[in-house]
Amino acid sequence: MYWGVFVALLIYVGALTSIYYLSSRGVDISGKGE
Amino acid sequence: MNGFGQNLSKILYVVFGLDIAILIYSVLAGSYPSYLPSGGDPTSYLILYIHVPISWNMYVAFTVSFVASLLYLLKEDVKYDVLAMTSVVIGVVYGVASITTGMLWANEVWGAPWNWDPRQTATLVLFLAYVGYIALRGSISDVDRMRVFSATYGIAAFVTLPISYISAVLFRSLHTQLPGQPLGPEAHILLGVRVIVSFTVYILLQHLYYTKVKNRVESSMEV
Repeated sequence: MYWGVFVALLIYVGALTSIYYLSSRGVDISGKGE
Repeated sequence: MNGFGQNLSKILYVVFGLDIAILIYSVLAGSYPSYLPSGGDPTSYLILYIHVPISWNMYVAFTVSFVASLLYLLKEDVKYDVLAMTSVVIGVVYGVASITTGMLWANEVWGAPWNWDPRQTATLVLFLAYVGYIALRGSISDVDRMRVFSATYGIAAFVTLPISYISAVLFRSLHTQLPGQPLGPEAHILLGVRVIVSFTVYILLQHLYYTKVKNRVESSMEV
């Protein structure tokens, strides 16, 4: 099986984890700290 | 966290688990598309079940940001600015995933990860346009000006989205374009399930992010 499929799977899980991290902490990317 | 927030977190965990379970099934036991247009290992086409839902979520997130930016300029309500900002952040993360999973797929079937294909290039421009949105927000110190400038930029940046979407149709592209290249019934159903569940995860994450930032912004404005 093409190895890239498993890397793509990890990328997807990583993306969701990143979004969950940002969401659950309410990260303000403008850095204004409102 | 209130009761609703706790319930939302539980729902998110369940849907997230379901999403990953369906994804693993798709990768290990999913049907191959009936039409395999290019060369390479046929198993590389299973990236379809990862790449397509991510890309749709990216497009939806940037569209939400466009509508929210428009509403902010019309109504000057901070909640629309928060919705636009959180949508862009989520869209950019999905954008990284969309471009990199697309590169993995292209590496096998097109022979190289990056080919300056119209769809690849247009999606990179779309992604960079929204990275610019984030940079813009960080560069303006006055909060009210930041919101107006961000909303204006968010509306202008949206022009790159339809270009990305139709680029594979308008130009000679290596990129597959549905429905001209059908998947076959089994792959079509499985992809449909993946898109729906992945989209549900996006909606829940978007709601969580929006609510967290909105509550903080509103409480800071009351002080």
